[in-house]
Amino acid sequence: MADSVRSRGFLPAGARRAAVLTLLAGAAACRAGPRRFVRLPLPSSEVERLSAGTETRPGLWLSPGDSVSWDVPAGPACRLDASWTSVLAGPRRSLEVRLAARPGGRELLRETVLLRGDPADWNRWSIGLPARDAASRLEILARDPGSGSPEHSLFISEPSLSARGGAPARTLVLLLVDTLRADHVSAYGYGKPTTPRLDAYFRDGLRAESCFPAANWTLPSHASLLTSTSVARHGVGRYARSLPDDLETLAATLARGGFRTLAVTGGGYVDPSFGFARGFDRFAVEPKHAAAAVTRALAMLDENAGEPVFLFLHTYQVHDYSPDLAAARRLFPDLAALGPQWEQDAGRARERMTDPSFMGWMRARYDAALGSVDDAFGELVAGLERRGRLGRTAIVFTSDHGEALCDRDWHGQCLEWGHGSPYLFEEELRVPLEVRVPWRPNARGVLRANASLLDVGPTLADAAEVAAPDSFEGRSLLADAPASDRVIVTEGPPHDALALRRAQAKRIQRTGGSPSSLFDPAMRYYRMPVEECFDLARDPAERHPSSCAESGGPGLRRATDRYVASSFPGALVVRVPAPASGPAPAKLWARGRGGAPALRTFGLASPPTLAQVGAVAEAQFSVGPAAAWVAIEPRDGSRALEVTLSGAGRAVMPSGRPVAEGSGKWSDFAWAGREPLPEGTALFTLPPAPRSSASASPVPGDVAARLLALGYLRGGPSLSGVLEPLPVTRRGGESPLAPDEIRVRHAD
Amino acid sequence: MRTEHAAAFLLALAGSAAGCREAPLPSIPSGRVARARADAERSLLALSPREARAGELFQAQPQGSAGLAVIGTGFTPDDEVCWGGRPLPTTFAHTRLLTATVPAEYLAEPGPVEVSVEAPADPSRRLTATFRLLPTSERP
Repeated sequence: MADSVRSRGFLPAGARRAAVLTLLAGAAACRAGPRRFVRLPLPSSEVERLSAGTETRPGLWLSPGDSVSWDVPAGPACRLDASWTSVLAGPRRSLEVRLAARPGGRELLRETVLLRGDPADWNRWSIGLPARDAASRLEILARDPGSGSPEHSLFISEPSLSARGGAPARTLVLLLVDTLRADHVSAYGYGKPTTPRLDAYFRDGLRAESCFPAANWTLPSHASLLTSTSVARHGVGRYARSLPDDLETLAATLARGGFRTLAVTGGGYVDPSFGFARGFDRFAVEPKHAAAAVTRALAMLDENAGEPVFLFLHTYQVHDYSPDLAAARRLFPDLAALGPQWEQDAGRARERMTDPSFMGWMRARYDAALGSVDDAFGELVAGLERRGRLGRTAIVFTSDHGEALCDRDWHGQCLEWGHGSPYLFEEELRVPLEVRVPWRPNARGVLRANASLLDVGPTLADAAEVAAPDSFEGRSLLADAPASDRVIVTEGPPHDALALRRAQAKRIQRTGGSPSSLFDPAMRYYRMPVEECFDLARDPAERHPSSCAESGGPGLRRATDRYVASSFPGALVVRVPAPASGPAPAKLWARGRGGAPALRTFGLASPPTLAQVGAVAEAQFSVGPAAAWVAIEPRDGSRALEVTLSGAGRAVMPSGRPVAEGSGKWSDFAWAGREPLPEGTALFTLPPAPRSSASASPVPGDVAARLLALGYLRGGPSLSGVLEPLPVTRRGGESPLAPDEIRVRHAD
Repeated sequence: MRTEHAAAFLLALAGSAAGCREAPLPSIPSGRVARARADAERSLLALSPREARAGELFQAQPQGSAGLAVIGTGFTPDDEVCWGGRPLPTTFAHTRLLTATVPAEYLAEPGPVEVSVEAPADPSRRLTATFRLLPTSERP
């Protein structure tokens, strides 16, 4: 808390101090009741996110003499709150706060705020503002501590005005237990009492029997969960490292709805460096156990007492197989079940992987770690109750993906321990999802239809009565039950592996790429089928693959096309089927009207060779053992392409008509909503969207030779591995591409 | 209680009560920032510390090195701090701050040292300042 010293006024100094102390006491009394707040928005061009201590917050720098001001409407007395840091030590900083009626009206307040606290960490300050009977100008000025040096800058975060009143504040909690498979939660039928506190709390809530993430590892799954978009949309884990700026996050949605947005995560992939702090007022990293995260979260709630709060609470305790002693003893009175040195992290435990008892120990540690999270959840609920918040708190409990625990053998060995590979069986994908919203009493029972983690954002927005943005792909589980024919896709980026399900039908597609098995470096996933289908109603453990040509298989193949195509808006997407005779080379050339299109691929077992010369782009790749897709993205806005295929079979339009040599309109190839695609090669498009241009690749000399042979280039053995924009000649007798024209030919 | 304190108490109580009053909180338009001086797009403004006695660690780091803060504007994560032309382990804190660790052996001899911020991809964006290593008899 800052010292506040009124520099103008009629009271003598002693009286001023007494007044300040009494005001502070009054403010403390206000904290006990509900408070509503309104943010003082900072200009987006000036906002940075700064990490100090263990928290990241948005804000702006003020050097000595700099100021930030807002036009605030008339209103009652309220409180100005903010936080500050300077990262560097230095002289004691101070701010001046001014409030004046506008335009050119009398000054209502001018106070100097001496900032206290550790300059390397975040510190709060606040000041009471008088009632305003007209619009006023509020200004915060960084005062010069003497030298005027910019190193005495201040970083100001979270400025807001608050006032007591309104209905008691609602609290929304998203509890995410990283790497938790549903079938180890007691409420989902597990034999051990791993989650008694969670089970008791959610007994009056809604439990999704089958919920699946959009990706099978932490980074892309959180990107999906926190934006309610698929990997195909955000690309994180495939070719993007952090959240695209154009997607609204759940935190931003709830902030827009008047909630203070707080996060306590275990860091790692759930870290501000991946864009996850966007929309949060405060983002803390607490890499210790769940109990420490809960303690930190409750402290943050105290600092925002009475305010509506969205709290995202994430823990790696289960991911790390790292139980606390109390839960370990509760679940395993004989601690020998956890193996030797069970307090060590899972990484160290790998040294004992060859022991026949190893996986038994790890399963016990996994369960005990979950028991520890359950204990921490009990502390969270108790803490909310002590603070008078519990009755108006909605909690969503889930995980980002499951975990393979050597559930199945492959040629006599453990196939997989862990997650994030192209494994994609249920134990890696099915996660718990439980929701309790006290003010929506009808949202209870068991949801039998498939749910998706994309539903979490819309559900919380619904609970908060805040409109979800159009970009959210999921749907609120508080509304009607999801449609039974809904297709849910889980991707395993960057392996281009997919699992799709509709009702009880499931299809897994793998590329035939070769990440190593944990247990046997010689074991490679290419031995696993590139396509598997299961009827989960008859075979929930996925032990007996069914024919993909029957039941839901064909429909899920079409859904695969649609999902992959949705990754490349504005592109012409070519599906290249796997040759029956095994992997075979294929080539694709694409020429744009005003420049070379960008080429991207999905589903190849090994990366393609891409090259570009002038307006022609080339992709060489090996197709098989699975089908693959090539996306051709025009970058000149003309939607005109000439595509030449070699070794890729005959192209077929969405209408089923084979693509003849010659031209068509872009619309001939356009994806037509839910219309089924014919099997075999297909060409289709999605509505165009702007794309940033990609840089060209160096050009091997043989590319030039091939382009010359195809008639795309004239002359010039000058292409000796260096890209030079060259004029592209028309092939003999053909006219230039017209806008919206697609030409396809086969070079075989 | 003296009269002036009683008056202050009543005044504060009234203010506190007003602060607790229920009232709608309308949204507020984005604020405006006024800078006392325009930031250069990219600049090196200060070193912290600016000088130290030769042979002594300043802002001692756990690995036995010294800690140097470079204050400026327009820094990027690719920037690298160099000490007399020798690259230092550099951490990008934000656009206005780089931190670097200086090995103890670089601090032995008194004299001026050029500290530079290098942008590997664009040498023209190099920035420099001078750090003074003082004789041991001179206090910084």
